[in-house]
Amino acid sequence: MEGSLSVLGAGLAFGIGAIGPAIGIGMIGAKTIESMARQPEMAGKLQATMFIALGMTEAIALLGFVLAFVLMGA
Amino acid sequence: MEAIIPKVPEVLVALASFVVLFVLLSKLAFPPVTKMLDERAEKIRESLEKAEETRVEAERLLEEYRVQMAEARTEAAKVIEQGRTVAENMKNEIVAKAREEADAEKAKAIEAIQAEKAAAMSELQASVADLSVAVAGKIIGQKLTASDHAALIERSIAEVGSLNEN
Amino acid sequence: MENMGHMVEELLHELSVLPLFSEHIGTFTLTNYTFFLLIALALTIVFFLVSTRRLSLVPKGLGNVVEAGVSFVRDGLCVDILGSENGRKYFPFIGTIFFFVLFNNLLGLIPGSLPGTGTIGVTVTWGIVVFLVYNGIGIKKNGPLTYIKSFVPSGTPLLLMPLIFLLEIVSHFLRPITLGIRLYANMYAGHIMLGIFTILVTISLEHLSPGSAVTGVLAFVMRVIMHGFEVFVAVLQAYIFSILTTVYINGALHASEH
Repeated sequence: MEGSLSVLGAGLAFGIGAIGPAIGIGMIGAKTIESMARQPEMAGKLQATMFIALGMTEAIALLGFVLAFVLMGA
Repeated sequence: MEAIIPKVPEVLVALASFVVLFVLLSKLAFPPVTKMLDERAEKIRESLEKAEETRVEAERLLEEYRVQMAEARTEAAKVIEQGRTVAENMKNEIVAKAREEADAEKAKAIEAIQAEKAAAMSELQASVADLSVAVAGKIIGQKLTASDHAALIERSIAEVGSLNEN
Repeated sequence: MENMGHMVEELLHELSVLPLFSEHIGTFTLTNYTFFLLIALALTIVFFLVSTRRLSLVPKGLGNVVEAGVSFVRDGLCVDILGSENGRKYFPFIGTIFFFVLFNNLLGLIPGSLPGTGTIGVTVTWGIVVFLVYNGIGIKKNGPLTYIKSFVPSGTPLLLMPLIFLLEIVSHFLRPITLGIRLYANMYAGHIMLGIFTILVTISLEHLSPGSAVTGVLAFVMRVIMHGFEVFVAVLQAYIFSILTTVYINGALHASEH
């Protein structure tokens, strides 16, 4: 099997790389819900901020995803 | 690995297209749209301000009219009050005068009646005197002398007077 | 199942940067991604030119859409973060970034097309443009020395200054790279995911059996859902790119207050 190590590397890259962002996104969601429950009139602004933080955290996860595919090809 | 390395043709195209778009949009597309947005905001603000001004003006006028109405009303009430007092006075005057006249009339009437009564009394005296002399002459059948006349007259007058006093 | 490996390879090959024509003008050639980039450019220009003709005091039709978009970027993004005066001044740049990235991302969702932003050359180029622009703004407003001195917060002891300065410089230089990679990874990975679901559907249709039919239907449903999700991600990534640009410009403008 050619390139088996790189395939293994790809799997590990995405697998381990997704742990952090997943926990992060969960925390963002939880904190947003908590803040919205505390102060319902701020819900609009909170939602917008949540999306921004979401986009940035997801990017880190996607870095791992892309790296996996890059490694698979190498 | 090659997916991560930027390629020169792409870099050039990306750069060029971005610059072209930036120039085109900022000269041709964004100014009209932002102008329209600002215009609309301005117009809305203006009409809101004008509506506010008109409302304040209208309220002021309403206040003025209300005060005027109140004044007119008190004025009218006063005038009515005055009129009523005047009428009241006039009524009292007229009534008083009428009463006076009525009293005067009554007094005059009483006087007239008294005068009539006196006149009637004296007439009565005369006829009673004659009648009583005639009756007495008849009854007695004698001719009365003058002095008997006088004595009879005086006696009948006294009796009529006492009757009259009753 | 051996098929799947081939198909995935094929997919990855299709999604990689491929030259369109075989002639090169020097080292320059149109690639598949650049082709769609230019199409998105033309689309944006046409859209804006057409809709600026339809503007009226009472909004309607296409003019309404353009006004909603511009108002969203200007009043909701620029003016919110930069303040009223600066927001209007820097709006053309931020607006161009937002709309160009948005149109590129959305174009990639038409089946058979690619997002112009799905390749690292394009996105990192724009990231570097943003980097140059915001540093330029900072230097023009504050003077070069003050701006560079602002990297170090004013209260740090002398010993820590070089370290913090270095950290700040590294973090600043990371910004265009992260901007570019974030956009590229979102678009590229989205397409890969859609492609993989398609491969699943295709494979489950090849050797038809109850199990594979179920998998096929599930994969198809998932693909449809993911397509919708990709629309959301397209808009979100354009928004994030723009809002980060705005935040960096704001940081550069207020550099003297650090």
